[in-house]
Amino acid sequence: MTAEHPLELLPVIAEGGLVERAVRDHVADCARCSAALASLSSLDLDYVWKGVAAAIDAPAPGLLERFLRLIGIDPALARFTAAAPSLHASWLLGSVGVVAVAVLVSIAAPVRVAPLLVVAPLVGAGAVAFAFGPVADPAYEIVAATPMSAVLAILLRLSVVLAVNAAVVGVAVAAELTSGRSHLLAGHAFSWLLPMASVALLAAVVGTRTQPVVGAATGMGAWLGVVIVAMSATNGFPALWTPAWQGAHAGVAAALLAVLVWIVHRCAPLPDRNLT
Amino acid sequence: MLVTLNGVSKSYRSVTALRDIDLELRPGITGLLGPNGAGKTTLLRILATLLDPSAGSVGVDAWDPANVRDRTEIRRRLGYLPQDLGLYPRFTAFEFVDYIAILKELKDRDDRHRRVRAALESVGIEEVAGRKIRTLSGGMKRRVGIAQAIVADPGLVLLDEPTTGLDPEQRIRFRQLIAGLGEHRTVVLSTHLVEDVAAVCTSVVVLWQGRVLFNGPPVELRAAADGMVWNAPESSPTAIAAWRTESGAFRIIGPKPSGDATAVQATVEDGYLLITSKSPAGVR
Repeated sequence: MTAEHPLELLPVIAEGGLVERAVRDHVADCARCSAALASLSSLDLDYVWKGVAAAIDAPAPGLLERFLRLIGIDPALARFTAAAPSLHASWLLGSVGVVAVAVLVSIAAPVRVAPLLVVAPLVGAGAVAFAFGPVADPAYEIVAATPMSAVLAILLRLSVVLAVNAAVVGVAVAAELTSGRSHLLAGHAFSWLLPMASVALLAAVVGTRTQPVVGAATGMGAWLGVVIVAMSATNGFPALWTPAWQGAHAGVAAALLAVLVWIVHRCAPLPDRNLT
Repeated sequence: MLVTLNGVSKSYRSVTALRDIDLELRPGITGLLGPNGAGKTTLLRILATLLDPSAGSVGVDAWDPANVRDRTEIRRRLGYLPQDLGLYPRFTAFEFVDYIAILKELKDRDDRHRRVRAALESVGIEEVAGRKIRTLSGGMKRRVGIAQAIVADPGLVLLDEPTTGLDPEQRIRFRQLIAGLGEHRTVVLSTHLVEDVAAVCTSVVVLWQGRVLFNGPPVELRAAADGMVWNAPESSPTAIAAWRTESGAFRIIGPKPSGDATAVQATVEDGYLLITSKSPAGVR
């Protein structure tokens, strides 16, 4: 209460609450307090309260969501992308663990090809397959019934998942190269990127219409098959990661991207196997 | 919103989930009744633009869900609660409803947050708005699901088994909420609980093995059993359905049993049992 006017008690009076008789008498006689009370009474206090309560309950957006908004991504797409199951800390820790093992093997064992070159597409396939789809995303059915552009949303989510996992591999590659303890990666610091993209897209195409496990297994299995064939075809460094093959990887990735966009744009969100 | 289905069928390999469905769903509350596997969820998924019909056509007002742009327009006006309710366990109740609200194009943050709060209040879980979903009971999770379905003030509300996991008090509150929603919206409620339909629905569709067995107001479904419901001290071999009641007497649906039987007022459940028993492989 100020020296003359009980301004802080006016909301209580406006809501019909009890205050001391002296206060009520003052408000009734005081032109300033009466005017302030009249303006308060015209407020929709329920509306005001909902705003206050919502401000308390609303959590702050996460780091990734804030970053995506900062670079101009639509708030809905940013929220959707940040909710990807394979962007959880637990999943990312798993990716870090797999990549770390690959680095250790590279340093400790006599191998022909840097394990990171083999492992990077596997990490990408797993993460992307579990980024979206009727089984991978618990809220898929609810989200699919919203007006959000499915093509944009899925491409953005898959891109971010792939980029985060690529960053994990990239850090490992940089660490291995700068450690001076492995020269297997010399000249191939980026050779894993396009294979990672194409294998991840294969996992996404299969995973969005089946199960994430099937998508991941298909991508990983196809990649390991190609690696085994490439390794057995030569005693030296396989051509699979040479510049000549990068075009083939890019071509496969582009074709799979087109298939994925077509599926998301043209097909109903739920595959027929979900019939009940 | 007016929803029309013309000759809608849905098949998957050897399974036919829906067969030649013709329906017109108008503003008000339509209850989809039927046993598990009757095709209720498939029908709701088609209405929610999540599944394409194998044959026939669907219209929502002037929009055709087969058209990609029309599908988006329908989704702008749609509130959907799936049967298999998937929520993010690490989200809070508020955060999840806010997540769906933002995907439903409620861009203004303050207005959206107020709507989220109002939706949570309307299902009675505002007290746990800040709690992680993984800590909520099954009934509370269901209410989070209902809140997300109504948060954007949809014109078409599709609710698949919304009362599953709700206790009796919550179910009564839910019925009040749905009754309010159905005053100006088209609400389709799938359930196998006949009492939910009897309590709130203005129209009932009984699905049985993918076919529509009945389409009309609940009073007509009840009337179908008029003169076919009896109280008797013993069960009857001619009964379509019979069970022992609290009083110890049998409630019998079917032709008048021999012996000492008195006719009783039929209920919507009696009508449902009678209608489904007349279909091939119906209850006996």
